Amino acid sequence: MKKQLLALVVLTAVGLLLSVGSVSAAETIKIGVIYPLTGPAAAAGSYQKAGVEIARDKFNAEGGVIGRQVQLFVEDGANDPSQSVSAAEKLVTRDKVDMMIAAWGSSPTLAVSASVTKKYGVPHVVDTASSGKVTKLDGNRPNPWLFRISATSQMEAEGLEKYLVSKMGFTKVAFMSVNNDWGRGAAQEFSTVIKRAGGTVVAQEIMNADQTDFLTQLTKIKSADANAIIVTSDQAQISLILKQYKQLGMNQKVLTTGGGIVPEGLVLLAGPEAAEGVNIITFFAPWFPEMCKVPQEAKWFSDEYLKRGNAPKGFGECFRGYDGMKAVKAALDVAKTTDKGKVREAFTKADVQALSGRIKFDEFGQSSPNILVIQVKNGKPSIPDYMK
Amino acid sequence: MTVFLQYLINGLIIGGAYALIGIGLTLVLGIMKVVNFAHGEMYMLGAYFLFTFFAKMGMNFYLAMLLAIVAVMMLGFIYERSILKPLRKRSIDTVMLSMIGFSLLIQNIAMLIWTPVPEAIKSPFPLTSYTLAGLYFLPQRIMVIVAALLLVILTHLLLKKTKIGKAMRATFQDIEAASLMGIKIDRIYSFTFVLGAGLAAAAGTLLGPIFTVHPYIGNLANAKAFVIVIIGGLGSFPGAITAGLLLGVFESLGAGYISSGYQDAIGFILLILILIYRPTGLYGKVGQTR
Repeated sequence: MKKQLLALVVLTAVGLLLSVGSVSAAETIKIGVIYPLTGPAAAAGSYQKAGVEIARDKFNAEGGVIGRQVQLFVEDGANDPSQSVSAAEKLVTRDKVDMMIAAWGSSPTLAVSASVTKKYGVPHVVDTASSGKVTKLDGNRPNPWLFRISATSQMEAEGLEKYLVSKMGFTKVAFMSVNNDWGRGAAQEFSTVIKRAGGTVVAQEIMNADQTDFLTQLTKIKSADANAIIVTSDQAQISLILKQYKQLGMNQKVLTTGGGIVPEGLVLLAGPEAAEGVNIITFFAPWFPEMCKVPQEAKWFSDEYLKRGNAPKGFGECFRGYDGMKAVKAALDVAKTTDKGKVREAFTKADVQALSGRIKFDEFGQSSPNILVIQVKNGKPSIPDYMK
Repeated sequence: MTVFLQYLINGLIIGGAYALIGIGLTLVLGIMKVVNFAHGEMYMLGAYFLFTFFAKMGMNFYLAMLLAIVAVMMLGFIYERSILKPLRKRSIDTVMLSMIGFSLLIQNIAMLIWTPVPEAIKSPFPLTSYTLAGLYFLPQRIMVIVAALLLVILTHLLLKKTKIGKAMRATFQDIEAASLMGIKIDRIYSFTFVLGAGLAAAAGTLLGPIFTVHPYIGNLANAKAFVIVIIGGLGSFPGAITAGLLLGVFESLGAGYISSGYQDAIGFILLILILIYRPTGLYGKVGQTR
């Protein structure tokens, strides 16, 4: 009897503590973040995490968002669909987050969208994935709770349509694409645009995400007489391709599609000779703040990012997390509450200038960031002549 | 024809590196009956130690390479003595699980020390390649194949000509008889494990400067090493070499003439064919597990 009583008291106490905890926690705005922090994409995830944290600290120092402090719940999704889904489940059911920035790559993002954020009705900001399927599936919007600030591969390709063939001289193009939705999708979108603009596609090479040796693919591209190569993969893999391309004495023009590639990274990983002349699609150019709609903020952000001891080779990724948080803040400023339905409504009205351009969602929940191209010149980022 | 020869050369060179990774694994498996899931991690550590000694501390490249290999061998020794030795009488599953745990542990420690951000080791070899009859020869890779060949020959001589090599072969054939003849099995085991770790680390230091270095490079090395060991026949030294070269050439030709999307699949098709038609591997002998 005594024991039972004791148990009851303990339980009540625990219950009280928990309820007190949730009351005080309700004062903060809880944002769940899922990035790959382990696995092959961990580097990119860690850069973006830095961006999210810079935004949180900035908002909190300015007195919070709608007068409340912002609290982050960062989970590791490893860029893996099942791990990202369980992380998202945990964020929704245990941490009770108000919204989510998730889940990096296209495959985990699609999984989290379909089986968590749509199911529970949680506002979901996508800051990285670029597969068209995330916002448009068979002409419909698959998840009304999802809002994407990153560009689709189609937007990238169409953004370059008037330059690729006529000004950049990409007339006989070879593709080297990583073997997933993103890589294959990008190759498809870019070949459509190239063919439409009068160019031809002479080779389509696929590589695995962990592949390190590309001599076979490059030999094939060489013998196919291509004059340009469009590469879709991450920075480490592209650096290896460039190194081996240089070693084979190749001189085709190279364009990398939007995957967080920056000149600093290529120069460091592939060496200055191999990186020279490479064209890079990017959405934020910290080296040229004037290309950004909010130049002062861009300058401040890149300084702050470096000041916190982060590597310059992460410049191609870190802004995504920051912009994701800007989208969150913009929606909350409109909604003035964390009520999920009202926040969802507010996202459709949100309109803010961020590092990667204007965040304003269309009827599919898709925003249109800047599509910029920079070129490595003398080992440094430069604005290519054909863009001037 | 030039393109075919280029594919063949590319395949043989990468195959040489595969062989080097494979022989370390096959020795440990053959002699100790230990499935070393951490083999790829030894490869990764070799590359990272080289990065630290050479790129971070500014040591001479070759000295850094040697030190990296020695450092990994020391780690291998500590692991063998402290974990594998007490587990010696346990079932093969227990040992396997401990190896899986060990490999995860190393991977995560590497991520703590070096962060998951990929790093590049600047090779002292020139980036431009030699051309001969329209074929390209990459200096970095020529050094890899030469060093790999040298290491394979040295290991072969060690096994065939030295006393400890003889003792290793005796242990491989019959452990009880070997111990009755006065061979110190514990010492042979330690030596074999350390040798295996050293060979993996050597492969890591050779390939590290060609590829990038990050905490997950061991996964690919492991995958290749296991395919090689199974194709070549469990525990077979010449088998691992043949299988390594074969895998490299098949991958290269397959990616070249069929589709680069199937590059990895080709290795596994080879593996399945071997398992169907020669389940003991190219050089394996029919036997049974203890």
